[in-house]
Amino acid sequence: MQKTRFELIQCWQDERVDQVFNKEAASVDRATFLATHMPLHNLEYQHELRQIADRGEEAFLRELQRCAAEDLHAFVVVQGIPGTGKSHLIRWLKERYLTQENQQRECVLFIERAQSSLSGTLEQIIRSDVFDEATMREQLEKLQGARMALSQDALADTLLDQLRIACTEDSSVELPRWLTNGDSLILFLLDYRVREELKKPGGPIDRLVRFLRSGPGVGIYASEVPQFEERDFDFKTRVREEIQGYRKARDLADKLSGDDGREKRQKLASLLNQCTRYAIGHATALTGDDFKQVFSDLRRYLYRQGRSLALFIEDITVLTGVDRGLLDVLVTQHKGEGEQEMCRLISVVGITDSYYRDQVPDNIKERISYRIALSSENTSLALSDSQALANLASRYLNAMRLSQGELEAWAENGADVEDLPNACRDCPWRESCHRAFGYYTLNAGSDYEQRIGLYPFNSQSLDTLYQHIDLTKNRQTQRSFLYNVLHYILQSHGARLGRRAFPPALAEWGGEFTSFSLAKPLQREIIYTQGGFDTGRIITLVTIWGDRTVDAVKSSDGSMLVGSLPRETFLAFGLPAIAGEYSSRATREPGFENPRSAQLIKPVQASRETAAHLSANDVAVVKGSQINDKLKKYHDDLASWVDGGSLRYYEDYAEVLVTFIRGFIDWSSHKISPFQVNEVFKGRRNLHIEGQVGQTNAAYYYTLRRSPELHYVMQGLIELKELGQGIDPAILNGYLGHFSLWMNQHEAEIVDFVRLPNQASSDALPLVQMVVLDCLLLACLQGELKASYKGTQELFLDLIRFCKRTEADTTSWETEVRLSAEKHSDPWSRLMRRFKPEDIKNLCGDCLQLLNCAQGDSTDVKFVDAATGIQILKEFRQNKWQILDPGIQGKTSRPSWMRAKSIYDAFQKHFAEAVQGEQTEAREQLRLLGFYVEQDTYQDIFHAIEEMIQTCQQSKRGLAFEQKNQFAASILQTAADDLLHVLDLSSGEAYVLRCAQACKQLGTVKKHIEYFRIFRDATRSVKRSSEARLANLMRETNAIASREAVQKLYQEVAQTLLSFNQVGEKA
Amino acid sequence: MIVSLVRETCELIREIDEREKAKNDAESVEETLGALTALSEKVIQLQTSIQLLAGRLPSSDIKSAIFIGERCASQVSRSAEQFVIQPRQKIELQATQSQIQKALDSLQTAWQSYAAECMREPFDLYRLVCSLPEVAAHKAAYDDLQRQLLTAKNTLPSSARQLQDFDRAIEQFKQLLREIEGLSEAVKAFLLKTLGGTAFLADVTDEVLQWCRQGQRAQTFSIQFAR
Repeated sequence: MQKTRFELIQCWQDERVDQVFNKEAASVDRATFLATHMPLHNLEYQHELRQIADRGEEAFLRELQRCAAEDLHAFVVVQGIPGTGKSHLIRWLKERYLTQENQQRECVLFIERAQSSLSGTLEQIIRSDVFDEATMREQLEKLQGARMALSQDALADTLLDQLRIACTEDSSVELPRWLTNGDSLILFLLDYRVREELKKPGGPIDRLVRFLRSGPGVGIYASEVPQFEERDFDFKTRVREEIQGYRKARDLADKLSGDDGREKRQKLASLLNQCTRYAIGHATALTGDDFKQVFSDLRRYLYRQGRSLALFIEDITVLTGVDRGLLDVLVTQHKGEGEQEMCRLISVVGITDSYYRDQVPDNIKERISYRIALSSENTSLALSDSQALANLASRYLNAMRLSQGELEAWAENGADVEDLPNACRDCPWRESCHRAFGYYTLNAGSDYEQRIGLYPFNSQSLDTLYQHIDLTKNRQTQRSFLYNVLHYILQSHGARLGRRAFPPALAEWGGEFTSFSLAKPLQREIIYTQGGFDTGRIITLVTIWGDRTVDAVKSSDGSMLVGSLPRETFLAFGLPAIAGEYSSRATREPGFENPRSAQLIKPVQASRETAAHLSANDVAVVKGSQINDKLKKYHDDLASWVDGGSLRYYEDYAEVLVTFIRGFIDWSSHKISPFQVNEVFKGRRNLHIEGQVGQTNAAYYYTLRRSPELHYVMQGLIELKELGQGIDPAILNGYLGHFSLWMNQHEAEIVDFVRLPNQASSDALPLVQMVVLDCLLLACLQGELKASYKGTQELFLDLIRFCKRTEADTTSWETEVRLSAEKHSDPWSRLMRRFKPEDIKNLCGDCLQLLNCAQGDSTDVKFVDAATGIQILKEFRQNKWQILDPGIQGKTSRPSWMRAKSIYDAFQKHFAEAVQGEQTEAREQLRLLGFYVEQDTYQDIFHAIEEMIQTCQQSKRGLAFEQKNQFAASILQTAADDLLHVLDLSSGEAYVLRCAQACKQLGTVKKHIEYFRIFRDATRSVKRSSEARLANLMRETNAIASREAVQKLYQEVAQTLLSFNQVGEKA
Repeated sequence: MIVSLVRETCELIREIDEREKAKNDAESVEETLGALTALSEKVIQLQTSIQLLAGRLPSSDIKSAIFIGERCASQVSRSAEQFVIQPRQKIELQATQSQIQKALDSLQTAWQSYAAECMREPFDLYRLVCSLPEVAAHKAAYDDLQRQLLTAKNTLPSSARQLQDFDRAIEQFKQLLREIEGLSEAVKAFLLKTLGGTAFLADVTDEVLQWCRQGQRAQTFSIQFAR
């Protein structure tokens, strides 16, 4: 190969990427697997049959081989969460288990997770050739039958039926009364609609069927067995209504629904989960006992053959349904009494933490020979430094560079690690490449030491990428490093290397990473200046491969390093070797600084123990590191954002921006009160930064557009906040320039944003004007203003008094509202009732705050800006109290504006009508008064009242009227005269104020009118009754005899009596 | 409105007051008239009785009635004088009327005594002879007269005709008794004892026996042992 310049070299075939990087350990061919396997050195034994001092994997392999050689039973559990390397270890043990000595005698069965379903697993067992077709036909048919059952369409229904049967036949399942009552659960599971609901896509039976046929799929918790969940039984109303078959089924569905049924649903789900294994076993005609029998038969068969059995199972959950039977098989020894005819069994089984905790019975746990725990902790420990990352990466990169043939030849020759082929060995660019990207030394210190290049990565980039794995989507494990970092980058971007497109700009980086950023955002300009078209790629290079700066330092060998990278690194990717920002203060050794020791960008990971022994200087370093961690987080976030990414910590930026905006702008020069500024910028919710990840809930907010200037401003503000006085003055100066520049560009629109109620109302009246006029008119409504004012100052003082009083207490307002119906016209009274006391109170408070000249932070002590207030009132008076259009288009979300606008709108619509109403009321009341008075004087009226009362008293007649001293001709005369003045005016301040004051006279007149009305009614009543009485009297007196007739009769009687004497005399 | 209303109402009230006063007076006059009319009737009744009975009743009774009349005359004169001042004289006049009534009651008592005396003898004789066949044959006439007389006795005569009717009835009754033959004193004594169940054969004198054997009379007598 002709040696050319080390530039844009792709030293691997594209197809090798997918061949080498395979997620499933079992799916990788043996040669690649062994070539890429990184030995585990720190196995953690949770339980061990015999103490193993060496914690390396080789030692454990030897222990397994010893067991085999000594015909000892061994049941090994490799436990750990998904991704910790269980499969890898088990695969490695399987690949290395067979030796020349035992390979004839051992029957090895490896059950991989690649086809991780019960169906796939059964197929693996059937095809593994461990069952002799001739002698073990029955067992094979049993397995075959189960596999067939799993593929049948009716599997879901069969599972449901078996669940139903399990509920009644499984003695370990204790059903509560509410499920057994009237066979509720049985009928429930028989009901067609219920079954459909449980079988629907995503439903519990569907999940179970898919798990049995296809496995759990992918994901962090891929190994979890599907379970019934309480939500599965919370049927929608429509579904419950469609349950028409069994009444009991419908009743149970109703009982299970809603919040009230949650507890019952949880109970039911738990009960059915207990029945799942029974159902699977019976649905497939392969129960745990059947499975145990099949393997027992196998062991007996092998025993007869003089052979032993070794089982390597990546993940036991693939055997869900028969797993309990399998566990029984695994713990059954061949040397116990009665088990003489069984072969020796060595098994290594992968089990997740949750499976071990919840599914492995205690009696089984006690019989485990070795339990090895691979936790995320000890897995990440394996990748805890850049050396470990480089170790792992170098093996895969080497395998990728080699051909499959070369690897297989090595594997066939014993796969000795010492003989591992090295693609770099004969590479013509090895020197340049290793100088620019580094290498990892395999078998260091031994005779077989060899250097494997890290190209196209370097140690820094491996570490940076590993640290930037997005932990919300992945965990930091070997698997995520291999597949989310190495495989992703090589597969997505590697092929673009030759096209001068690797590495891409950060915006094109993609993948599941957190954002990357420059440590010194201002250096972006330098990169732009020096890198031109390649700015984006250079930023990626220095951010991921370098130290996140373009600081140019001289290395000890005299060469220049930019961002800790030699110029060869730039050139290898077809990038210009930029000069960077030279600093004479620093020199640096060339090569690859461990990023995790870099104070600026990496955390110091001090444990509690070590922290306790830190010196003061160390503490300062730790604190500084913590600040730097924070700054790095922000820098990364901002750098990603300015490149078009999203802004994650927007809340923090908004917070410092709000403070900055509030303090930087001279609001008083814009005639904006601190109150208004405070309302808008009290929190950060009215600021929206373009590209922020969260939503802004405010209806009207100010959007800060994405720009390099804003980037610097936010960067600067954050640094100021975090570093305080510790910020470098030179840097601070730079930031101040950006602050000023950005504010100069945006001040006008920010001021408008604060000043205006919403985006659409550019011509809105100033808030202070609306509020002052609102309060003035409210004072007028309440009757707190005089009938006339000589000067505006006097009016302003009355207004302020009203505001102060009403802000403190709205009792007077509420009293006036209550009395308004009797004191005022309907329009006036209606207008008063429109306003809520709380709004009035707040508005008065707003008015005082808006006119308040800030005196420190206190809002209690007010120094009223009389000039503004008086000016507003002057203009209002000059305009003859015309209420102008506020110029507000649409709605506003700001409380002060909402209050002011709603009240102002009401005044604009109804105030004129209210004033006119008062005038109309005055006119009406005077007319009514005239009706009673007619051409007489008020004095005549009161005399007439007096006369009437006296006449009634004399005639001993009742009069339903009480004379009151408060009513008098003189009082009425004054009030009526005042009201007459109100009628003389038609507009202007005098008209409004007199009308507003007319209520007092109106009240007086109204009361007199009422007084007269009562008197009139009483008098009329007397008159009516008198008229009737008189008519009767006239009728009665006409019929009475006259006195004369009586007197005549007297004479006659007297004469007759006197005539008796004469009779007597005669007698 | 109010002034004119008050004016009209007050005038109305005053007129009512006046009319009510007049009405009260008129009612008093009316009541006085009623009492006076009733008194007048009684007075005339008393006057008539005095005139009719002055010759038949004892003079003391007549004088007493006249005295009462004189006293009442002065009471009426006094009331007539009071009437001018106080038209309500009902009570006074009723008191006067009560006195007149007493006088009438006294006259009636006296009349009843007079009438009873007039009827005593004929009625006793009729009781002795009523069983005789010739008397029994006229019983209806006797009864009718007896009834007329008893009615007249109980009613104070208010006219001369009533008095004349009384006298005529007494006379007719007596005439019928006179028409019975042979009714001597000895016969009357024998009839009296027979009615009392105390007549003995010794009392049957020839005159008596003869009277008894006249006509069909013998069949009306029977003989019994004395007990």
